[in-house]
Amino acid sequence: MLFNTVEYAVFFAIVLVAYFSLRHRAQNLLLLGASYFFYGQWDWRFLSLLLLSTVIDFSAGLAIQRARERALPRRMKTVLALSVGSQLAILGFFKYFNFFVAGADGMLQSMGFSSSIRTLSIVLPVGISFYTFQTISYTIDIYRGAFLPTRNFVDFALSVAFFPHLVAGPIQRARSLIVQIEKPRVVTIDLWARGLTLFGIGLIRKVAIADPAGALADGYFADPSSYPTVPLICGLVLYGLQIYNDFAGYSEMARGSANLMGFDLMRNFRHPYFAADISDFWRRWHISLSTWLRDYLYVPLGGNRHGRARTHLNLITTMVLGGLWHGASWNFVAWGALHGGYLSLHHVWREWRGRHWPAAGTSSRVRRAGGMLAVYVLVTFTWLFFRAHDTATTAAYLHGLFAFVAGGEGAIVPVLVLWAMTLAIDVPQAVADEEVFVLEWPFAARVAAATAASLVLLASGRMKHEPFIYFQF
Amino acid sequence: MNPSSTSSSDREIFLQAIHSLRIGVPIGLWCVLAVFTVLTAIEVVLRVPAVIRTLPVRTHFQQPGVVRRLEALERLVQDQPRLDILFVGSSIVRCNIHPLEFDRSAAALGRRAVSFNVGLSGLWPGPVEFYLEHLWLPTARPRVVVQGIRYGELQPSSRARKEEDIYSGPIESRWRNPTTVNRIEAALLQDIHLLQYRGALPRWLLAHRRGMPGEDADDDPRVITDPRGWTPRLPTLDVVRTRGWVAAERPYSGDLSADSRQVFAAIRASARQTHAAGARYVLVNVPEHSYRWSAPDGPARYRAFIQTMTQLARDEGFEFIDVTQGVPNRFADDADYSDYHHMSPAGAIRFTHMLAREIVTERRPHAEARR
Repeated sequence: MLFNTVEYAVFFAIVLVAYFSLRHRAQNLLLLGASYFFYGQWDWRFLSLLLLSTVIDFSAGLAIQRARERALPRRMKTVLALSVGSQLAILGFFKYFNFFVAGADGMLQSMGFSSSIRTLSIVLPVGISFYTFQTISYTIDIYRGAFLPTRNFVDFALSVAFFPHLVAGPIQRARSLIVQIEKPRVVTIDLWARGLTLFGIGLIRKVAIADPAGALADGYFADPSSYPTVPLICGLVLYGLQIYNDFAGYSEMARGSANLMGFDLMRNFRHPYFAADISDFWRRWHISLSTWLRDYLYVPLGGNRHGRARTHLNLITTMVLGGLWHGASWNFVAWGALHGGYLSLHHVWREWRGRHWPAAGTSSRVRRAGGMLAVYVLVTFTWLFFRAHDTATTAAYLHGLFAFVAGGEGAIVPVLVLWAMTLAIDVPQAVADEEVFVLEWPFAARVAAATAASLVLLASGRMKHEPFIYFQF
Repeated sequence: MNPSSTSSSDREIFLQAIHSLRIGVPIGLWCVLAVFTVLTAIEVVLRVPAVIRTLPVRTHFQQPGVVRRLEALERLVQDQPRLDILFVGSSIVRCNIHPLEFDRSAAALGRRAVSFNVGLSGLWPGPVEFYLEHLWLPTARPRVVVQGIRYGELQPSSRARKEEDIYSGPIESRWRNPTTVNRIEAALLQDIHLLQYRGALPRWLLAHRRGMPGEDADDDPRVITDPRGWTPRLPTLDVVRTRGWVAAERPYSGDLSADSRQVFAAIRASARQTHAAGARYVLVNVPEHSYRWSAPDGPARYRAFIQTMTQLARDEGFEFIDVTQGVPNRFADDADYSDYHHMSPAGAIRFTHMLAREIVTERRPHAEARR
């Protein structure tokens, strides 16, 4: 059930009517049932997996707290290890088993052994990477003493399965969501206006920008060798626009849906293509994942506390694992490694500039513009490794990009149109520092914006609904 | 952390929320009403023909050609309470039957006629029947439906548009599966212009993939079609023959496949739909160049084809017109053709005049017998 379908509209309308006719505790039960129904629409079989993950971490949270109260630090550690280990084992089996088996098989064969290890036909449960990371953060936070476990199973289960963020995030920290679940929600007209506007903006991003950009980019990636250089460059830019608007659109629709029920989910994107440097990019892109990786991987690895070399190693390790989080493929590893490399180089550059070039001659505005351009070019180029699902496509695309074959310049037209549409949302958001900037506008401007949005949606809507990219992760 | 909360505070917060919603409703309602008003005004503007012509072609049908022909037909029927003759079929109808010449010829024979051609490239008899039933009969309300057919259309061909593509169109898919919801959606799509541009933006963007706009499914921008739906083709048979561009069009040989039964069923259905709408149905053999019948068994095959169609017409009680009278060599002049089945303007005019004489002056005995 995709957010941009009539099915979701009907489902959500029914949930909302029931939600507002119930009291707080009953609301939680309703939302839990609705969330399991929502998830079951993809595959009912994986509801048991969701339930298993929930039971493991609910029990682990209570067990860690009990051990803390009895001053048993080793038991705390054991329970945490068991909890995190079992969650990672489930994730590893469903997501990475075949990847590592195939890798081991290839390695054995390259060493001259006749290997016959078989891969399994495993279906990837939708959203497993998202809810696994969320539940892991719950037990780690309890272990760290940042948070007390909830004793209400329904509340915890709802925090894991809450349908607006279940299948593609934001990877909400359990502590911020459980607090909202435990208290009665206050739904104001402002929150409704905010939720509806946010949902509308997300819908435009998905339907009017991401889907057409994706349809164009798919053509270039399907057969890169048949296109000259300019359309291939356009293909990369279009994929960058697709993935940004698709995921940001999904996040905004998720947050908008949550707002309509009185919840507040964390912001996942902050105009990432306006980033002035690569570290800034990662503070703006998929914020819930990048902060998760920072808090639960980079910092525990040592962060920047153990010297330069270790900092660089930690950065690259974190980003490679971040890449691997997206899927079991060498392309994601390469994508993560490149970003790790960029971050590492940026650290080196920042240190060097601080020492040798403290008062740069150019104005900060020019420097910022140059930085934005450099980051955009790097990030867009690196999307190639993310999008091309195999090394053959990657190689063919790279060859086409650097072959400098003339022709196809008209392919820039859709890039300009879709970029203009993206800027029409991002610039007012950035200037006003407000996602639902339109609510600040005068009445006539609001009506004009809503009318324009309706017309764009009407002209964009295709009869086929494209799934969100991040559903596959 | 204490998850418990008292029920009275729950109630207060809930009532407060409902109260704040009530206060806010008028502002939101005004905004919705204002947007609705503006959209209604835009809907009115979108119905102006001059505006329609400046905008990209509407996307509510699977083929842009259907939309263009529908727009031209609607312009024509604005002044005509009822259309006299509607020509349906594939590109052989579109290129080989000239409605304005037909009307002139009919006038010369003492009959006033207003005719229109909705022939569309690659439309084999199955989809012809589909559009006739759902679109052309209700829109045009013709007195006579004339369907053109050629031997090559009795079996599947790579020249035919894929039926599954046609039936996947926004309106077509709903007609195909007429549930209550689909019927309502199809009616809304047919009547509300704002909904008829769905997908126009991505379609326009996708047309630039290779750097140049151009849609494979839409040949109308590349060819000229007159206001009555006739598309002229140049007399290029000698050129295309010299260059080998029509090498695939060999003289007919081999037997018809079992799929031809579906074609006959579609023709029968077209006749029945037309009769049910109170109109006269005429099936016409659109003559191909005699070269297509130049195989040793060509003349016999041609006679068998004519006999089969005559028998079909007799069984179903409609008229079948064959201006060649069973003689394939009647259409053998290269100057009359653009390729072996699409005629040049001269050929189209010659054939149209012959057709007009048959339709305006003649009555088939087997057709009369069924009335």
